Amino acid sequence: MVTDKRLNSDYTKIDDDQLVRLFRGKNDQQAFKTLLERHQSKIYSYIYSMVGNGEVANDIFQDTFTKVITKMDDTYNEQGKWIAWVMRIAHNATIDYLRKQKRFVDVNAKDDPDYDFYDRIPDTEILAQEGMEQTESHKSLMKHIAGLPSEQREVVMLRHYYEMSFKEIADLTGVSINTALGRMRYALINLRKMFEQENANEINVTE
Amino acid sequence: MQELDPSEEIMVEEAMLNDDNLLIEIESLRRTNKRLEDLPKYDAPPALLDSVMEKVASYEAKPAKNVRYLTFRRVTYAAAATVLISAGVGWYGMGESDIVTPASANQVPVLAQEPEQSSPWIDNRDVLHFNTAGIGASTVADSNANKLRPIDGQVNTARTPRQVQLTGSQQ
Repeated sequence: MVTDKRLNSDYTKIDDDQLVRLFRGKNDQQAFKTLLERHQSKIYSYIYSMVGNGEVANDIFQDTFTKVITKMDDTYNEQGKWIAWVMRIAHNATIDYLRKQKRFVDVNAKDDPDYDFYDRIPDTEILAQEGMEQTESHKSLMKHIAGLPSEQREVVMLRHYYEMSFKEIADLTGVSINTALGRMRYALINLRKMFEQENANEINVTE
Repeated sequence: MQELDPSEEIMVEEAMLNDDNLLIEIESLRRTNKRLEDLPKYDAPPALLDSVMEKVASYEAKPAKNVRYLTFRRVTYAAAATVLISAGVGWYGMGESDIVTPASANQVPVLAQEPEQSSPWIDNRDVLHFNTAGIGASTVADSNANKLRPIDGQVNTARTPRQVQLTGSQQ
C-alpha cells in the first residue's frame, strides 16, 4: 500500500506528455489513470454545464474517453497537447448531442424564435447532481447560463472550464476570432441583463 | 485584456479615458465576467471513472486475447479439416474397395455405363435388340432376375452378371 501511494504520488509529478508516452509505450494504466484524475473535473464540468443533465453528461464523458482510448494510437500525434485533443473530442461529442437535441426539439418547436432545447429541461434537472452542494448563487448562475443561446454558452464554458484563449476557442468552434469575441460579448451582455432582471425581481419581492 | 496586443491595449485604454460610456460599459462587462468565476466545478462520478479505467484495461487486453483465440480457432479448424478429409478419403477408399475388390479394377468404368448399355435398342432397320450376349438365350428379364441375390454383404455377386451383359453384342 505504501509503495502504491508513493507510486501514485510520483505519477502526479509527471507532466501530461510523459504520462501519455508511458501509457502508449508501456501500456501503463496508472499513467492513464493519473491523466484521467487530473483532467476529469474540467472535462466533466464543461459537458455537464453544456447539456444540463447528469445522465447525458455521464454518457458523453464515457463516449469521449472511449474514443480517447481507441483512437489515441491512430489520431493523436504528440505534437499537440493531449488535453487539448481530449477537450476537442469532448466538445465535438457535446455539440453533436446538442445538435441532435435541437433537431428533435425543432420538430415540436413553437413559433418562439428564441426557443432553445435547454428551456425544456426542468431547473431541478439542470442543477441536480447527487452528492453535490450548490449554493443559491451557483443555481442562479447556472440557470442564467442555461438561458444563453448555445453558441454563446459554448464560448463562456470553453473560456471558463478549459481556460482557452479566444484564438483556441475560434479554432475549436470553427469561427473567426472576432466571432468568438462577439459571442462572448453578447453572452456577457445577456447575462448582465439576466442578473439585473433577477435583482429587480428580488427588490420587488422584498417591497 | 490579456489577449490584446500591447498597441491594442493602449488604444482601448485611451478610448476608455476619452469616453465615459465606454468605460462604464467595459467595467460592467468585467464585473459580469467576474461573476462567472463562481461557476461550480463538477467531478465525474467515481463509478464513471472506474468504468473508464475498466475500458482501458479491457482495450489493452483485447489484442492478446484475440491472438490466443485466433490461434485456438485456427488449430480447431485445422484439426476439424484434417478429420473431415481423412474421413472422406477413408470412406471413399472403403467404398471403392467394396466395388472393385471382387472384380478387376479396370471394370469400374464399364459398371458406370451399365444402365445405358443394358437397355433394349432399335437399329436403323427397326429391329429390336437386347444385350443378351454371354448368357445364351436368356432374355433381359432373365438376366435381371439373375442379378437378384440374397443380401449376404458381398457385393461382387451382384456385379458379375452385369459384366457379362455388357461385354457381348449380336451385331
